[in-house]
Amino acid sequence: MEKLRNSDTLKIISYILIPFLMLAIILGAIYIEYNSYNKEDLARGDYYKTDSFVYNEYYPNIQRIFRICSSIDEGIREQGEYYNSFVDNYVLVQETPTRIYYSQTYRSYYNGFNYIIIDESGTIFTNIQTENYNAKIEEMKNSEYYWYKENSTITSNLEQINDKGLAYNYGLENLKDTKNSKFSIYTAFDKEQPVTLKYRVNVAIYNFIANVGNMPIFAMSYSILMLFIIAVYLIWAIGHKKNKEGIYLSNFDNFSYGIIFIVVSIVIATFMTIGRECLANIDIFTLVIALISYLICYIACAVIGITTIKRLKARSFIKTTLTYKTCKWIKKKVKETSNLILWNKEITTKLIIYYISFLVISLFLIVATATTMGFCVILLLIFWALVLYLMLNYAKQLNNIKQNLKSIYEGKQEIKIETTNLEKNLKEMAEYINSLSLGLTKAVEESLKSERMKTQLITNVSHDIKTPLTSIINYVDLLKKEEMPNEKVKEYLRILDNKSQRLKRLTEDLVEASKATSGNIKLNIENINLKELIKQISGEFEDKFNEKNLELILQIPKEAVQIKADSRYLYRVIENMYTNIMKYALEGSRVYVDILKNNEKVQIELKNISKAKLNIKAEELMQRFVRGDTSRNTEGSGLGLSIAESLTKLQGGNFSIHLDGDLFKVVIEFIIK
Amino acid sequence: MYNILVCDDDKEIVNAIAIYLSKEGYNILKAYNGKEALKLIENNEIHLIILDIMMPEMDGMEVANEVRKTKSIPILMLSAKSEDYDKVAGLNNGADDYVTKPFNPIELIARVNSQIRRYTRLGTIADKEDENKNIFKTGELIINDDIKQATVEGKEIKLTPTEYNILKFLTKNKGKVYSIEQIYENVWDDEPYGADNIIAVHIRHIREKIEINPKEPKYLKVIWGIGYKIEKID
Repeated sequence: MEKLRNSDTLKIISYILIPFLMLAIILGAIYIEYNSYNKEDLARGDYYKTDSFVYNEYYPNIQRIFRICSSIDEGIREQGEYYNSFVDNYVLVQETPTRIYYSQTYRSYYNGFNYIIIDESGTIFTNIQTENYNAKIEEMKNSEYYWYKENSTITSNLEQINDKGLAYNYGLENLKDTKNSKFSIYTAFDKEQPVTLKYRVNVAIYNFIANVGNMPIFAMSYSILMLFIIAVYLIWAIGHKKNKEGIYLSNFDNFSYGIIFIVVSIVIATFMTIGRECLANIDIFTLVIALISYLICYIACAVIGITTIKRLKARSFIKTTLTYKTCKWIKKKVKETSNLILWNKEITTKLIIYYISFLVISLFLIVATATTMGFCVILLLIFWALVLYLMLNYAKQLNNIKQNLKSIYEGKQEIKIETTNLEKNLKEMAEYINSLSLGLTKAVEESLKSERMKTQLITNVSHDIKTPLTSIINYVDLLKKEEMPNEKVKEYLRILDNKSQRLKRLTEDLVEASKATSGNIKLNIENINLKELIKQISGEFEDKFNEKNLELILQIPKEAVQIKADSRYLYRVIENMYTNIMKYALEGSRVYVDILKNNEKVQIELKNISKAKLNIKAEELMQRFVRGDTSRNTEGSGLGLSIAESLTKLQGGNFSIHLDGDLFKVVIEFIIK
Repeated sequence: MYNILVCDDDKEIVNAIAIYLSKEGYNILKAYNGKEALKLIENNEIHLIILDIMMPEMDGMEVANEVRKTKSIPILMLSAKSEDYDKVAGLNNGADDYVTKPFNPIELIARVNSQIRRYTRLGTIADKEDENKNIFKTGELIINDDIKQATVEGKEIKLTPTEYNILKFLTKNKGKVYSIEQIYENVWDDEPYGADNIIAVHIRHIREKIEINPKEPKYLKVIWGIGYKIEKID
C-alpha cells in the first residue's frame, strides 16, 4: 500500500493516461450526440448528402452566390461595371461572344464548390475556368452533388434544398425569394477537389460513426470507470513521497493560490480559444497546434489540481489563498492603525472611540439601507451581531478573570489565567493578576517553609532544654525530701520547684503552639458529640472549679450535637479554655458554658468574669506570649489562646474572643455537617 | 532484690534515677552508652532496663532491638522526644513502656514497679479464676464481683459503690465505648437526672485511683466527644 502510494512511476502513468481517457470520452460523447441528433444523416450513408454538410457548407455557399447576384445588380446601377464586386475580385477573361468574369480568390475559398452565374444579358460569373461553359453546365447538372436554378425552377439532387425540401424547410426563405431572380445559377460540389482537412476529418468521423457500432459507448464507459479509479488513486496518493513523512509541500505549494489560479485560468482560456479556433478551420498544421494547445490546457489543469489536492490534504488551502493572505494583511494593518490611535489611551477614551465608531458605521449602514432599497440591511444586522458577539466575548473574558480573582481571594493561590486570547486591556489585567498570584504563592510557600523550619528548630531546642530540665526537676525533688536547715531554704526550694515545673510546661506548650500555627499536625477528623465532650471536660474540671469556688452552669441542648473534628485536638482547645477559666476567673463567680445550635452552625460559648482588669484588646490576647495580666506573675505560658485558636482553625472551626468590661467570652464555632 | 539497668548519657539523670529506685529497694546498674549497657546485660541478671534513646555510639532503639533478639527483659524508654510517632517507634522497637523527659519521679517509680511485677510474677492468679463468671479482667485490672473488690497489679483499689459499679460495667464490656448517657442507663437504677457531668466526675476519680498517670491512662480511656471505655488488654 505504502509503496503504491509513494510510487512516482504509477503517478506519471496516470497523468499520461488521463488525456487519452478523456479523448475516448469526448469521442464517445460525439458518437452519442451524432447518434441521437443525426439519425437521418447516418441513414443517408453519404456525408456530403447529410444535413450538416448541406446546411453548414453547401447552403451557405449558395447564399453567398445570392449576395454576389445582388452585388452584380448594384454594380450595374452604380458603376456600370461588373468586375468590381465587393464579394469577389472578378477578372474579365473574355469579351466576346459573351463576357466572362472569373474570380481566383473565390476559387480557393469554396473548396470544391463550383458555380456559374449567367445574367439576363448572358454574361457569365464563375469560379471555374473552362473553354466551353455550356458543356461545363451540362457536366455540373449531371455531377454527384448539384444545385441549379434555371428561370424560376430549382433543381437539386440534395433533398434538403431542392423544391421539395424548400416546401417544408423553414429557414430557407432566402432561397425561395430568389427563385424569381433574373439570374441562372449552376452549382456543384466536387468531392475530389477539396483540399481542406476539415472535410476529410468530417467524412472520416461520419464513416467511423456509421460503421463502428456500439464500440465507442463501451470505450467511454470503461474510460469513465478508469478515469474515476485514477482520480481516486491520485487524490489518495498525491502529496506522498518516498522517504517523506506526511504531505510533501514544495515551494510552489506554498505560493499564493490566487495568483496560481489566475495564471492557470488565463493559460487555459487562451489555449482553449486557440484550440477551438484551430479546429474550426482544420488542417494538419492547425490540428497540431490544437493538440498542443489542449495538451497545455491539460498540463495547466493538472498543475492546479495537484497543488489544490496537496493543499487540501495538508490543510493549508485556506491559508495559502490570496484572499486569506489579503484579509490577514488588512487585519494586521487595521490593528496597527488602531493601536496607533488607541495606544496608551485611557480605557474611557478608547470606549468613546469605539462607541463613536459604532455609531458612525451603524449610521452609514442605515443610510446605505435607505438608498440601496434594503440591501444593506443584511450588512447592518451582521455588523450589529458582530458587535454583540464582541461585547459578549469581552464580558466572558472579564467574568473569567473575576472568577480567578475570586478564587485567589478565597485562598487558592495557584492561579494562572490563560492570556493568549484575551483583549489587550484584559490581557494586561490578567497578567498583573498572574504575577500577583505567583508572588502570593511564593510568599505563602516561603512562610510555610519558614514556619516548618521554626517548628523544627523549636522541637530540637525543646529536646535540648528537656534533658537538663529533667535533672533540675529531679534534684529539686530529691532536695525536697532532705532535711532543710531552715524555713528560708525551704521557701527557695519551693520557688525552684515551681519555676522548673513552669519551664517544663512552657517548653511543651511552645512545641505545640508552633506545630499548631504551622499546621504541622495530622488530624483525625471524625464525628464528635459536642454535648458529650463538654460534659466530659466539665467532669474533669469539677473539683478544680470547686476549689476556686467557681460555679459552672452548662446550657446544653437535649439532643446530641454532632460535628466533624479531631477529638483529641478539640479536647485540647476546650481544656485550654477551662484551664484559662480556672486560672483567671474571679473566685466565687459563675462560669457559663453554652452550646448554641442552629441549622448550619454550632457555637460553644464560654463566659466568665475576669479576676484581673482586662485593659487589653481581644486581638492582642490571642497573640503568643500575651497574657491578660501584663505583670506575667501567674503560671502559664501565654500560649494557650494562640494554641486554641490555631487548633480550632485547623479543624475548620472559628475561634473568637469578646471582651466586655470584665466579661470574658470565648466563642468557638463549627459548621454542622 | 531486683536488678535494674539505667542507661543514659547524662550522668546526673542516671544518678537521680538510681537514688529514687534504690529507695524502693532495687539494685541499680549504670551505663552511659548503648555498648556498655549491652555488656552489662550480657554479664548480669537484669530484671528491667531504663533506656534513653538519644545516646552516643549506639542509641536506645538499637540497644532495644539487640536485647529483644535474645531476652524478654522489660524495657522502659526514657526520652526527651515526646511526639506520638517517637512513642510508637519506641514501642515498636521492643520497648514495653515509654516515659518522656522531664519525667515525674513518682510516675517513673510506679511504672517501674508495674513492669517488675509483671515480669517477675509468673502464672498469675487470674489464670485459674478466669472461669469464674463474676471476675472481670483486663491486663492487670481485675474486678471480683463476688467480694466487690477491684485490684490493679495486685493492689486493692478503694472505690465508692457508684465508682465500683461504673468500673465493673466498663470492665465487663471492655473494649466498647459508652457515652455518659449509656453509662447512666446501665449503672443507675433510676432515670438519668440533673447533674450532667456527675458520671464524668466519677470517671475522673476512678482514673485517678487506678492509673499511674491519670492524664495518660492505661486502662480507663477517655474518647473525647464520644465516651469512655476500658481498654482490652490480654
